[in-house]
Amino acid sequence: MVTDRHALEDVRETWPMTTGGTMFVMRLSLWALLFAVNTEANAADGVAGFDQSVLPFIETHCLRCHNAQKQEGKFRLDTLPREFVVQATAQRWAEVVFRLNSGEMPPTKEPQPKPQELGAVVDWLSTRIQEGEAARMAQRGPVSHYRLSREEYGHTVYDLLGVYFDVNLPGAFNEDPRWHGFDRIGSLLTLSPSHVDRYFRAAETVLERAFPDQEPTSQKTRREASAGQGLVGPVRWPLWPGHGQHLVTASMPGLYRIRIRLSALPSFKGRLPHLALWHHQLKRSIVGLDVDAPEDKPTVIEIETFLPEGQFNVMNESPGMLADGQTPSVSQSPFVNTTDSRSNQPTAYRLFNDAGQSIFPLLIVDWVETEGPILPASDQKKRAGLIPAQADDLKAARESLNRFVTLAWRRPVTDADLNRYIQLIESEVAAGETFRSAYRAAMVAVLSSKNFYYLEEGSPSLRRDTVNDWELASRLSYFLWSSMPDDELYGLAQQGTLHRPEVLRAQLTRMLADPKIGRFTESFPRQWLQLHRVGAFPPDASLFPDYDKWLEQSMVQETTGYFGEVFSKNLQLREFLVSDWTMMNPRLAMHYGLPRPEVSSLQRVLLRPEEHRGGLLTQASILSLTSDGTRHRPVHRGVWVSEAVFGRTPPPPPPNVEPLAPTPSDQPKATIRMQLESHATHATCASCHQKIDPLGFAFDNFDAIGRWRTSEQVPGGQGISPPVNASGQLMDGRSYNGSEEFKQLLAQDTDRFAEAFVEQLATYALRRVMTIDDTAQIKAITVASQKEEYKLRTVIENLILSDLFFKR
Amino acid sequence: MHEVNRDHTVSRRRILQSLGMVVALPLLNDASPSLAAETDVVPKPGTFPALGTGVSLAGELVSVDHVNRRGAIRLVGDNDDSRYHSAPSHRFAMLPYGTVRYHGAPAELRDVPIGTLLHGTFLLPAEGITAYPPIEKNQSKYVPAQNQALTLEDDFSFYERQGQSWKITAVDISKGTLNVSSLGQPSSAGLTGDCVFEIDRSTRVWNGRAFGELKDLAPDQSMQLNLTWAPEWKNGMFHVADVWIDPESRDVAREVQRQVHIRHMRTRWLPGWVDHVEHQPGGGGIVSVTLFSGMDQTLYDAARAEAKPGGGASMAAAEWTLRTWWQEHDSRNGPVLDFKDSPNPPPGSSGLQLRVQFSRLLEGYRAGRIIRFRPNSFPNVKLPPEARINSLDER
Repeated sequence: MVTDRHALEDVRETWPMTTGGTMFVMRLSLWALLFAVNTEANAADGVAGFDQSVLPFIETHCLRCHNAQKQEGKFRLDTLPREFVVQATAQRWAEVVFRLNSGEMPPTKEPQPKPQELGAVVDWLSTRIQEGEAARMAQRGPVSHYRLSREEYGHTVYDLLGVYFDVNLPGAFNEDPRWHGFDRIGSLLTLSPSHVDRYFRAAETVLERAFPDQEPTSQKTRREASAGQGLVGPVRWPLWPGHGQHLVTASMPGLYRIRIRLSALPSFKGRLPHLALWHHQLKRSIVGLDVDAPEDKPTVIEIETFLPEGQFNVMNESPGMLADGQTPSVSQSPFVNTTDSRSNQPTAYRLFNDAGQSIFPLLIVDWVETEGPILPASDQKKRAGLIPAQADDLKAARESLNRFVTLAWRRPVTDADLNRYIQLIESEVAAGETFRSAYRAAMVAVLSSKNFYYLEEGSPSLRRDTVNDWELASRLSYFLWSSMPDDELYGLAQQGTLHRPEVLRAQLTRMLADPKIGRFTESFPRQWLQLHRVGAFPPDASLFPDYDKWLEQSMVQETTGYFGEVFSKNLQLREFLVSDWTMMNPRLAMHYGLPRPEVSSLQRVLLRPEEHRGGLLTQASILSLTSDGTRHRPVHRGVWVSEAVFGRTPPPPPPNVEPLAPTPSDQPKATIRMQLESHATHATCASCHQKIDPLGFAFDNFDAIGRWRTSEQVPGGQGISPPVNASGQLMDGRSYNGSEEFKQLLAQDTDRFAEAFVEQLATYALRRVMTIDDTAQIKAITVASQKEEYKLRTVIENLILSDLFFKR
Repeated sequence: MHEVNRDHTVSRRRILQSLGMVVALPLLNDASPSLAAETDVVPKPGTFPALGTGVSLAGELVSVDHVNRRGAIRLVGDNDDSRYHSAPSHRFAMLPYGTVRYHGAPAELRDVPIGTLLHGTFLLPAEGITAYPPIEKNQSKYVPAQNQALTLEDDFSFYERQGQSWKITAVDISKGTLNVSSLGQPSSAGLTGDCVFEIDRSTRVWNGRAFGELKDLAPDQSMQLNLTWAPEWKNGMFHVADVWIDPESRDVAREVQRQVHIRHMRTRWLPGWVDHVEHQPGGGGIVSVTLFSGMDQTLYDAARAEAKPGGGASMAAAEWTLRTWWQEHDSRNGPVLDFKDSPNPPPGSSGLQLRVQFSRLLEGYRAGRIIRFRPNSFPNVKLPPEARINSLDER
């Protein structure tokens, strides 16, 4: 642990270096290049920076009332330390920022600073406060503990025991706290009695399923629409939007295979019906997909998925039109086809247009087969040798337990560790439990131990700056697989050879080729890009009637699928900023106004310039998560770009900011941008908005759910909807007109983006916030990756082979 | 008393012909081809008939199924003993856009007493619509095929609308005769010139805001009257049921009926049909409707007034009979986007077209289908059970 002062001195020393330097310095320098503001002040970070950037301001505006002689508000500034890593000190400085930001200080009767002066001071102090917070969060003692996120817990018990445990079920686990989207930051994943209780209950559940008293048997059932109708002709089940039929039952949690023969008719607007399995008890769908099959050519859909216990509706989850209690009342008689079974009830909802096309996406089901729980041999193999074959064989039990604990704790175990559990077995047997039950109790205790749900790095008695091979194996596997190491990694850790570059490289190649890498390509972009915020503010149904849950899911799938494509093709990081392709499904194509793909699953499609997409920044997920459900938020978009693309969090907004008022009815309609530009003329706002807003205005051609537009719909006000102005100028003077030019500006400086990306990747991999101490190594990884034009796999490989990855 | 008009044989034939039989008689006696061209009009759903189509028939209302807007009239006599002896009454159904007027104001069949002489325009049964009354294979030669009523009016409405009234030329209470002569614009069909009608103490004399007496009838009075059956019906003789002998009495009758009509329509809603449906994603759409004619202007104004921010209307699916199902429950409500008034609309059309935005469409919202339109200012009430349709078989 280095003190903040040391860090600052390091910065001063490393600043002139051309090849070394720190991430922090480079980041700010690049930022300064972007904004070209206060370059000198930013360059002079640290204590000297304080003397240059803050002290003159304080002397002019603050010290007269907050000095040795006079402490207005009992606040003294002249002796306030400048070590922001100390929480108490940082809080005092945060108070200063708060008062300055809010306009409370300097008092109105005193001379007022220029907005630029005030903004520079607030920016400098805010940056130091953030760095101090990062340093505190990254503090590590002799032993570091990183609790598994609930997502990792689920993957780990599956890889350990072949048991699917839905960590998202109500009551299973609490949602993990996030830091800028990352939910695996060790310092945030604390432990409470509630966690312990849930870990215990989860362990009991998992082990009961892994080693049940009675082995489950797989059942196969079939439900047919024609069955029992007593009719000659084929009868079918019509499923209108929002309607489903209870056709699937999962007798216990597990893997199920469901086959459904159906027709799927798109709406007259071309929208495909969305088939889903809807869980009665959870009141939500578990799995869903778009389907397209003509009425006279039904298809068979096969879904193999893990299901929680319960009853399921096969459901048409297209946007529900029948939510107000009315039923479609297609016909009094069983449904046969859309021609003969039309309603002649004039008060029923209208289902077909004059051309005979279905107004709504329609599913017509013939039969459903359910098979499960399927017990794959691969899952059963995981459990082999973890439980003694013979009851009352303590020796065998010790061997089995040794293997189980070694796997579960991801390290060798001592006899002392084992003895505790052997004693537990003995005491349970003595209390009258069966041997199997007693052994299982010991296994529950193993999984309820902190050694299971915490990743531990370090030694209590030995100061180590790097991880050992066992810790390296876990670091690798939780980075790439979000789960425990497999046998091969264990073996190499056991041999003590995993850390060797050639071994590590070989393992990396193997791990990247393993299907479990999908967990990384799914989870990392969600955390890096903060996709958990998509739908956090559900769009107003009256403003966005086309928005639905499937669109929301499709938005996220586009982004994670895009990341997966870049990964699988090993494309350059530049593709995240600009590209002529994206990942598309029919729902998204409809949302974007693009031709419907021929197949209904997510697939790569080429884009034309006039379609205004390409790269991550103009994907609907990103544009939605930076909106608030009623309108787009240029400032939020700017902040998001700053964080995700540049790895920099702008200072927080001042308190009590007046919200933008709706356009008065007697005034011309004004865009959000027009209102913001008026807002940003205030002294306390202008300095920050000058930096943030240009990053958000570039996307003004996209509304709150990411649809392209050329004019902005403004509630209230008079006149026509004002045209969008998506032009702007960065602080370095470069100007753009529209998102495409803006993205090109970003792509001109891939180095900056790559460095920020490496920092985000390292945060995910190392489960901690990056600090000034890490900047040199981050820079080194970036430089090493530059030779390979920042190909994604190269960046990952360079991170894993770097000193940073070994750094404890 | 029925013998009093034997002196008027010449005028009687003219009377019979003018009472609609000018058209009906040729029909009954092989209509000429040129006439058939304009009388053999078959109405089509979604299309109003052209001006001047249909046949004019007159007769006494003898039965009414007011819920289904159906009834029967006994056509006026034509000196044919056999016809009077054996002809069945002429059963008719109101076209959905068919109008009834009574006492000079819009009305429903239920407002018209049995026994009232009515003047109407009739078309052939519409194709595609369940024909009522059914055309029988051995249809009586005395029953015209035109049984779809486009208009029905009592004498008051019929003559007043055409600018014709009556002047008393002589009254003989002891003999029970009322001699009249037409005034003003002669009606295009119906009685004109000099006529003699029966009166007796059953005749209601309306004077000012009160009942009068037969002795209030005096030569040179200008009046309107409603006729009914008399024993010499087959020879074109009528009895006077009501007579309004001054303008105030006519105003009172007209206004009372207008209010009856307004009250009725505010709860039954304004009939019209769907011109066009513009489908939107998600099951919504914009429905254009044209309201039928024959209603009080204040009701159309109420519909127009909803075309404003915050305004709206409900629309219930209705049948050819104008009956609805469970209108306040099954209808949909939405904002009225705009309206348009077309000048010189065809018969049956008000010329008022409105566009309504709905988030959900009903099966009954199809071009050519009948609807009932409720401006939001009208009450949203449940109709009595016999007025509602409860199953498809009831239509």
